Amino acid sequence: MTQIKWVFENMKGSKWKFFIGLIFHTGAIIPLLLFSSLLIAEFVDQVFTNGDMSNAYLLIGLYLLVMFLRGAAHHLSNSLFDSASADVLANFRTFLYKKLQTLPPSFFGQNRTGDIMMRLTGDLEIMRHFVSWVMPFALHCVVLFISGLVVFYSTNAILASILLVVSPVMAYLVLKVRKVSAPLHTHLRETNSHLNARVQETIAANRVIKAFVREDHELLRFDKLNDEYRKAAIDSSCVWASKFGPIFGAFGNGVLITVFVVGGLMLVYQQITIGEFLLFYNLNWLVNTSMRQAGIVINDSQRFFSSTQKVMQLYYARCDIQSKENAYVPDENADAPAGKVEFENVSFKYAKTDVLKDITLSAEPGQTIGIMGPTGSGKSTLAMLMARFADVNSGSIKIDGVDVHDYDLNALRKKIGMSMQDVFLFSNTIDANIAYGNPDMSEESVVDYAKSADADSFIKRMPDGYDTIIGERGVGLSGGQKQRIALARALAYETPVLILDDTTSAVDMETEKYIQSQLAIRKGTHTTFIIAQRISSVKNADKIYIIENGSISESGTHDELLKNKGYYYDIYCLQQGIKSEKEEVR
Amino acid sequence: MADTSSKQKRNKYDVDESLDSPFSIKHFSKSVKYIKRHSKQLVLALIFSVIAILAGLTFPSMLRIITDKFVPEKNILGIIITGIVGYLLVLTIAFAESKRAKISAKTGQQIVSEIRHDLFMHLQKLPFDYYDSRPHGKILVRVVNYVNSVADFFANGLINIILELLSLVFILFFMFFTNVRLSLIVLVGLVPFATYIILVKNVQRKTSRTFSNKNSNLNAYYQESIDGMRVTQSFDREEKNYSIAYKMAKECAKWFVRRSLIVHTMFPAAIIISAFSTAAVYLIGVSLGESISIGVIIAMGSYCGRFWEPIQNLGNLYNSVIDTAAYLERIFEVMDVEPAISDVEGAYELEDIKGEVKFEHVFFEYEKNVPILKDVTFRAKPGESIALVGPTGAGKTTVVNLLARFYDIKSGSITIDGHSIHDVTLTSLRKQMGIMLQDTFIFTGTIMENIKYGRLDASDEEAINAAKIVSAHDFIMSLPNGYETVVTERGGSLSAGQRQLISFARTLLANPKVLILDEATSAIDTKTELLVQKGLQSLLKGRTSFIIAHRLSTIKNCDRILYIDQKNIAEAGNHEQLLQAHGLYYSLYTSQLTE
Repeated sequence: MTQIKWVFENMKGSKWKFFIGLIFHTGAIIPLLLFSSLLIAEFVDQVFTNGDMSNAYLLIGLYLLVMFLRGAAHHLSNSLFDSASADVLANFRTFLYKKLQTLPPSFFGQNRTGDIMMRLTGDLEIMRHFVSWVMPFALHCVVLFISGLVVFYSTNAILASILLVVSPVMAYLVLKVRKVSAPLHTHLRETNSHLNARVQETIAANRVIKAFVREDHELLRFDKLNDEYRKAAIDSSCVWASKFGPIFGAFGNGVLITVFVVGGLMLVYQQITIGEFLLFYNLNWLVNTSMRQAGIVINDSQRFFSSTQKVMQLYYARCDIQSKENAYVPDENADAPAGKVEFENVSFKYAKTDVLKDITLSAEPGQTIGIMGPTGSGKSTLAMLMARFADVNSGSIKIDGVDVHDYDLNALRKKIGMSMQDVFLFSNTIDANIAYGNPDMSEESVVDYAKSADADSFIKRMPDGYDTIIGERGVGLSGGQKQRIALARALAYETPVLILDDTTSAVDMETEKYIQSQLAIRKGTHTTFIIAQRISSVKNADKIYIIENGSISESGTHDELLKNKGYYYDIYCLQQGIKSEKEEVR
Repeated sequence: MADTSSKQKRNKYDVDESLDSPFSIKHFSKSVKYIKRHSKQLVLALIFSVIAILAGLTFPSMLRIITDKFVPEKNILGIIITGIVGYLLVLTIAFAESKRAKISAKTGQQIVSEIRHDLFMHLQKLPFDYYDSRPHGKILVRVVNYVNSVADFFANGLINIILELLSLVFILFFMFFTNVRLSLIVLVGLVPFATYIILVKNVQRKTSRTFSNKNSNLNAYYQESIDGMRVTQSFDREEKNYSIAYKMAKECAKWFVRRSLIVHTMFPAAIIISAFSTAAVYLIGVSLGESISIGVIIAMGSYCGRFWEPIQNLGNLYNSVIDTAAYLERIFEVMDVEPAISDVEGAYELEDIKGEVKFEHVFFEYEKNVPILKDVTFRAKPGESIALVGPTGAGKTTVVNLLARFYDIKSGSITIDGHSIHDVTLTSLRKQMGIMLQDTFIFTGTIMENIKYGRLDASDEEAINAAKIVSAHDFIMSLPNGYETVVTERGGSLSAGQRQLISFARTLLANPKVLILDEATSAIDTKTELLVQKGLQSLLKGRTSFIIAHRLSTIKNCDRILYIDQKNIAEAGNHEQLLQAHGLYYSLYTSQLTE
């Protein structure tokens, strides 16, 4: 029930559609339906039984009018329900979209895209269906049944009591359906979600699959889930259609036959008129239908409950990383030098393992800081923490003298431009990708930044130049091309702090040299962090930090570090192909 | 045929995918082969349904017998016997309905799972371009959501259409049996109804299609947003993206409502026309006077309602047929895409190779008249290691992509041990190659599973051994659950370098004759790389390998270096030879030496 209340809360602005729809759907359609049956009964009685033609045309005229109104009410109410449900769907979709935007990378690490998509598509569709069909229909059934009973009683109490006898049995069955179908629906939803995630992954992994000729293997994995889904779908649809549905149907038809028998007998003993008998026949069919539909309503409601549960989980997903109240938003017009970064005793754990331990470093505005270290030593984590994609466990990070926790999250991220290791480009034009952080940017500026990232030349050679649409994850471009577009995107964001995480690893030496010279021209406009494996990338930095096993093991300029004869020196020797003096000493 | 897919216009989230084909029965005819396989079950379900319907149809006749015969005759026994027969019929109906529901649910889901299977299998055959040229979300909805949407059509829709048509015939039969003149009056109502359907058909189809397009756009946008969320967040684009998503959701809602407005006219149209025929039956029945009994008129009134019932249902089914057609169109559209790369006729299995690779006058272009490689010729001896170097985008990756036949060359020939790669089966060709791609993809699962992806029947020891060779063992062991640590698509807690090491191990485990390493170590630190290199030395023996790298330390040890520039091989030779040549490689080398 909380789920239903919750859905109504999210119907804001469209509740009137829903309630006006209800008024027509139950308030108009049912009386019209009953009225039309009464008119026919009256016609039969007057014309056939009494041979009185005087009101015949009036009755038929009224009947036609009533049916016309019924049709109109049907159209109006169903359109209103659909409209209200479409609004609810749009509200949920946009809310959840917004919600997703606030969730940190750790959430997306734990939840597969396919699974999140399932909530945004299948589950929401079931909720929409609940609003547009299940709820109105449930009410419709109840009112139909009750008013049927009332008319029955006012006409003939004995016949009406036949209905009352079967009612408790029906009620019991309704409850039973609920209990049996709930777990089946939950299971169906789960298997659907697994299938979704599997397909999504194979689409994303299409290159790897082809490279390893694993098409058959993937097909086997897929078939297993496809089959599970098939079975679950059969089970969940059979529980109603093949088990309870026919039982409900049998009760309904049984009542009809009983009406025949009892009514026929009463006709023989002249307890009722043929018109009344016919009325019972007609109305019985209506009441009977309402009982049949009640089961479907219950069945669909179960699906609604299990889907809503999943949507709620996302809706109320806890977001650990948020702007605090009255968060700091820097004055944009201030001309104080911006881009000072300070790490003080920063430690960070992931899954109970220390990733960074007691990191202290600082960068003055306009400086270039190089960061090197072995694979998995925590270099990229530094960047994550700076932009608050994860929070430190202890210590503090300050940007321009303010702790990153005190910043408004958007204001903080506006200060930091990043080009990440894992290049993600959007399936859009190259132009739109470069101007991603600054959509109103002029085309000339886009080209300028592309030139700085040495991307202009290859972009120009593409068939549609800057208007070339590239695929998701930038597929279709070479690794180096992707990196250069990502670099242009980061530069175009025009931030005081620039983090280049392995930005040029897939770029050849000469291109890297060019990019370095471009960065050198811009020197002073950003505080730049260069995370890299190549000495050539960090050599000219004002300060280089070496991170090993989560802590800083060395720091200094290129020359200082070479003298230090530590990790940096070793790497230098390896990359230059020089024999290490250390080895000679040994 | 080879380049059908590459010519396809790339699609993005806000562009409706156009379908040029007009509405045609063709999309249904493609599903005929699936239906045929299960025709027995469908017929059986149909038979059960017919039993149920026939039994149900006797009810008005019972009513008539009671009112016309037993009541005037005061035949109480007759009424009671009718009742008993009625109850038996009720049970028969329940039994038949239950059977039918079970059979049709099974059949429908079976058909749908077969379509899904074929669709998935076909997708596996489609080349990179297909995936590169459209948002992944648009592919996903076809395999999952759209196929789900057509399930009900195959489970119930199809049978119901036949049933409704049959029950229409039965009712007509009963009606004509009861009274011919009144029956003809009822039939007149079909004329306005048919007119209405013809008028509404095209509009309805257009709105249904537009709605499913908008929905597909929205899904694609959502999916990409989820995958690229970190970029969005770091570029503070949330608001802009939100407004796009908001507009798309509103657009979807708008078209949904438009569709509803049309769809919901079907039922009113049917009941209003039905009311007119009912009225006509009564009025004309009365005016015919003595020649028709009251019972007949009442029964005809009742049949009249029953006659319009299947027509109303057909109206509703028509709506679902329209939607199903729109979905089937999308589904079969995928199946119609010819895989650009497939086995040629008479392709044979490539037997165990030694690894001699020859490129002869190879020309290649992705898009017409934009040549990527021009007249490339080289030969790699079995067991030779070859480094491909050169500027970004010069075509290094293309060379290895061609070797694995991810794309077909325009002219020239590529042979392995003298067999043209074009003439052998794709599977036998790629199975002998180990390809490590630039973008590493980690599957959701354990690290062990990810490594074993290279060779599914490998033992744990073999997988661990591969991890040791690429120096991944130590970091894996430091993870909370070692090799059993579960990682996700996005790699979760793994760094880019660690992911590279895992996919490197995966490639090695495949134990290929030809090894292709495309930037296999770009994110790995130099020291680890050196360890990897050492491990590789022994492993590379007897394998032909192609190594694309930028770091000289990686390149130097290769037997031969090909410098790719200007769409061709500009220089070739080993490290020393190329240095002496003082050419492009020399300047590349010196540029990397910092002082």
